[in-house]
Amino acid sequence: MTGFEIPGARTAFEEPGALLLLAALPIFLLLRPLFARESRHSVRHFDLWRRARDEASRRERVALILRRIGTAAAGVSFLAAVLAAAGARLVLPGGGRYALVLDVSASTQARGAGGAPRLERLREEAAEWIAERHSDDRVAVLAAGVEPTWIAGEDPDRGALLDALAQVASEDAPGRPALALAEAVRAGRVPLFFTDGGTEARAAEGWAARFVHADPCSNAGFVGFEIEDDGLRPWVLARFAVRNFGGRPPPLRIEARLGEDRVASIDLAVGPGAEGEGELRVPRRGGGLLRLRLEPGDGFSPDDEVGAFVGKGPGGPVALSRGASGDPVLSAIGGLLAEEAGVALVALEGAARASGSPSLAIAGDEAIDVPLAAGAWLLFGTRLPGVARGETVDRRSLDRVDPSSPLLAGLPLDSLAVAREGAAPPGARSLAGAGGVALLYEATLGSARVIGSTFPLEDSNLPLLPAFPVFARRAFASLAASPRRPLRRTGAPPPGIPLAAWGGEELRRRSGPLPGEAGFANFLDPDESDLSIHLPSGWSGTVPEGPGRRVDPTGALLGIALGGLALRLLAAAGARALEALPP
Amino acid sequence: MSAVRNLRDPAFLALLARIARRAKGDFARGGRAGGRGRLPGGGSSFREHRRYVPGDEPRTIDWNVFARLGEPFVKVFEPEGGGSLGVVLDVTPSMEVGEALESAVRIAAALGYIVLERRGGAVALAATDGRLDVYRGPPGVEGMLARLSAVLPSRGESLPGAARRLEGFAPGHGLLVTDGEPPEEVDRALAFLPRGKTLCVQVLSRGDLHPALEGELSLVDPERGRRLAIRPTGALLARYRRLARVRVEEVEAVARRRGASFARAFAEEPFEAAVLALIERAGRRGGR
Repeated sequence: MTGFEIPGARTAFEEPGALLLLAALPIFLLLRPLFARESRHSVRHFDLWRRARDEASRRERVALILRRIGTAAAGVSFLAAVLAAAGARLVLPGGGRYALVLDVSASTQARGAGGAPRLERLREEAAEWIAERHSDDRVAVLAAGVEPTWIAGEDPDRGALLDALAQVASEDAPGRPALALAEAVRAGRVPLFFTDGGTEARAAEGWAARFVHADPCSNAGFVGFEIEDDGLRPWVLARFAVRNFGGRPPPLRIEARLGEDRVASIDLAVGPGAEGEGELRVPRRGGGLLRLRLEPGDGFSPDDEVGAFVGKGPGGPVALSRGASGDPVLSAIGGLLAEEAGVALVALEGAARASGSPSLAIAGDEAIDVPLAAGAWLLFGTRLPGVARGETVDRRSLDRVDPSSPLLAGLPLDSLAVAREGAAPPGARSLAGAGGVALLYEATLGSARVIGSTFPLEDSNLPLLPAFPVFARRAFASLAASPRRPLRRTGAPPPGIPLAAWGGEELRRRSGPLPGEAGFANFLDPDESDLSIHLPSGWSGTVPEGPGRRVDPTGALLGIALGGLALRLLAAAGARALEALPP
Repeated sequence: MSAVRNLRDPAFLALLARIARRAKGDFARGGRAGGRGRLPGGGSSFREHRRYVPGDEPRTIDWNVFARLGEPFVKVFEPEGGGSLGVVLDVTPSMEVGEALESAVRIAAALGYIVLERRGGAVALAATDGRLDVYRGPPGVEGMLARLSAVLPSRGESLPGAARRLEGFAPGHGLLVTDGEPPEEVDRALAFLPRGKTLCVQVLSRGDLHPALEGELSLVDPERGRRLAIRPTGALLARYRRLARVRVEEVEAVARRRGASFARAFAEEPFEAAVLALIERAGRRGGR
């Protein structure tokens, strides 16, 4: 459905036809001398007059033209002055059916510089519009919240309408003005939309909207943000810090969205100039773009947004091979990992035939005669096809750990003892070893990603070490968690914050990197964010005049009057000077 | 034709009578000087025959000549007593300007009255509306005043054309009342009037010589309806005044050249004084 044409919209007078007439009048007066019929005068010696005029110099004719221009200018000046003094204003014939649709979204709770909520501004504008209407107009009031609500039905009484306006209240959610506008149309009324802009304004495009310019609002924004994400748990923890840059904003609401879904929210009270911290535990679900937004979230201050990508969690079960199922430690570890990741624990029948698509397969102290199926594998003392048997040692202690591997960082493995060892698969990278022999390794075998030990668990004390569950969990996270891509920060500061205060011309990140994930937590790329200020076409920030808006033409008329007077004086002086010259 | 002025008003008739009494000396002087005063009277001695024209007294038709030639001829006698006056009255539209026509009509009425009030006096009135009327003696006063009362501006005939129609009347004296526009027509009209016995009166308004115009004006030519937009600046008015002065002097020069007396009358002047001045001027010329 398209919008309505409002006759007389954006005009200084309520009656466009009269306005055109009024505009044409000065033009007529200016052109009148060209077509004016001079005063007639019969003369006896007509030929003598013509001879006398023909003998007149050209400058006398110029003087004549100047005098006519001066006369016309004086007339225009006089008319403009009279109109200005009369306060020209015409009245539109009444009888129209209107619906005043008031935006009551959450952003209208924000207070302007004067301390009054934006909704109050909307009320004032609506009241002014009502006061200017013809007494025969029929006006109703409709609140555009989540659901459209008629505040006042058809009631031509202005007092009742003003009372109805006083009953309009803001809601704590973004509005859905499109529904309200459609409701007004269904009621057979011309909708006039009063909004503070933002997303609601976008909904008004193509409608006869009357926008209200809100005062500059107090502002707030994120100054810190980090994500705690182990890649396994079905939730992530978003920590944030918010600073109130001044003013008295309403209680801030921080809302977390994963994709398009609202997954969590929290209210935070932050005093002027202060910072507040908080955290939100957000379900991981299928991973994706996690955004934290400062509500109201309609594109206007104090909106702000930060975000990060959350990795996809394990999708399949944790599978135990026959050997792992028989090992109480590996069986317990598998159960713990499955429970933490929120997945099932199943038995693996053969290396290539898992139940479902395991996120992690665990095998221990057994021989696998077929190539490993694709996926993540934890292998403890498992003999793989084509891998050498290795040699038995009496006792070997760990003496070399790969310093670049996060898997073993900080783990107390000094007391690890191995009775006998095997050989690592070809191409494996040693994570830890003893005497030049790899004890813990990381390898890729076909489509399988493997972390394992070259020694059987039964020939070592690894299952007894406190670090063993941690190692197993890190290995799970490293193998099963999907990679996370870094985000770039947005370029623009929040409304009201000078660029210099935002970080100078060279923008810097506002939140530090997450531990171990440089550049992970960052601000969103504008293309990835829906945070943008939506304005109707043709509105670049100033307030367009709506229908029924009274515009005082006095200034323009007085300007015309003064201009006409000046032109009159100039023309008369020029004509006198020309006529004063000798023939 | 309806009357536009009433010259038979008792007050005007009284004014004419007073003017006639005051002018009697001038006329008498002219008459006694040689029987050919400046203002005419009728006579009884035969002078010539001429063709009959409508308005001629039927008694003057020479029936013998009619029987012989088959055409009516009238006998023309030498002026005697009142004499005869041929009046050429300019009623062209330009005479409307500045009430000149009113003045011209009254002047013709006054001078015609002076002639007709005498026994034997005759007045032939030829106006540019195409009419020729002849009035004789005191009874003719009524008709002449009625005719003059009904005169309206007209483009019926040129000034020489009107004067030409007086040829059959052969007046002893002539009177041309005009605004002098254009002077060429005045010259040609005077050719049909008795040389040395004609008074040319140019009737103007003060505004013709000293126009008091201002503002944006569209000047209208009453003769041909042409228009001219002007703004009468001081320079333009000075130019016009110079040209107008030359023009009226040209009319006077034409009258002098044709041996006629010349007088200029302004519509704004008191009527009685203006007429007496004309008569005095005519008398002086006749006395010379």
